[in-house]
Amino acid sequence: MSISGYAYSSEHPASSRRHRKTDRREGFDKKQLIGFTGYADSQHGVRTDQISPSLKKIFFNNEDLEKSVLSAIRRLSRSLDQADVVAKLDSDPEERENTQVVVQVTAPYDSVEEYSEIKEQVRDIVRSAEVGDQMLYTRIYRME
Amino acid sequence: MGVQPSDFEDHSDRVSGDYNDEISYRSAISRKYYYIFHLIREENRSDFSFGHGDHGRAKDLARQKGGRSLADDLDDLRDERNRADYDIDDNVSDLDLATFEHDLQDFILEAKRQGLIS
Repeated sequence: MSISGYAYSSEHPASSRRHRKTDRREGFDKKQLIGFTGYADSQHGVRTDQISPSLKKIFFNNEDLEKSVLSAIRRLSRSLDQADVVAKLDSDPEERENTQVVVQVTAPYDSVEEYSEIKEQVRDIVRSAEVGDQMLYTRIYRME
Repeated sequence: MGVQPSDFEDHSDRVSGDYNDEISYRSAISRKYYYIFHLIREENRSDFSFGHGDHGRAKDLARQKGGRSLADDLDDLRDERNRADYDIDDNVSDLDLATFEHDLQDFILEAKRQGLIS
């Protein structure tokens, strides 16, 4: 159970097969990521493009949040086959002040049962990764 | 005259029962989110302003009463509703409607257990 073969590659299969296109709102623009170097190495086990620039900005004031997010991404990437894992600062389109930290997993599933299994697994992993009071919300998106 | 929260649910069921296309899946998801949102708000009126910000307040209340898991569940429903109404380039399928309805049923059971709704 691992996607380690893709862990540090820009050719991760999920990158071109996301079912949802909402990442366009979240600033996952590779041009913006130039200069972001902190998490692209094997020591952290998290790719630069797995954390949105807006989320990375608030890490400077919140060490616990940074630990939680990095740990959640590492654990999820190790545990889920063929999954794309990213973390972002998300806001509601109708209540922009309502922001939250979201760990988003895009994975293939073909039934409600498979979806529920992935969701439970993701929730368990993310909850176990949380440090401090900041809650990480989880999202499961379907990969086509 | 107005409507009740359950009218949103009934309408969602009618749409998904009578039509089998993407715009109907989207409409059914959206109406069903508003069913649970209005139910939470009507049963906890003093916690809401009945204005801007109430979706966030519903999530905060879910967290207060049921912890992180219940808040995460409501956030999933809200995110799917936003997707249904805003992200028109996405593909929304009957499976997406089925997973939404599954999540909603789970949320209702837990919300009742935690006293968020009766």
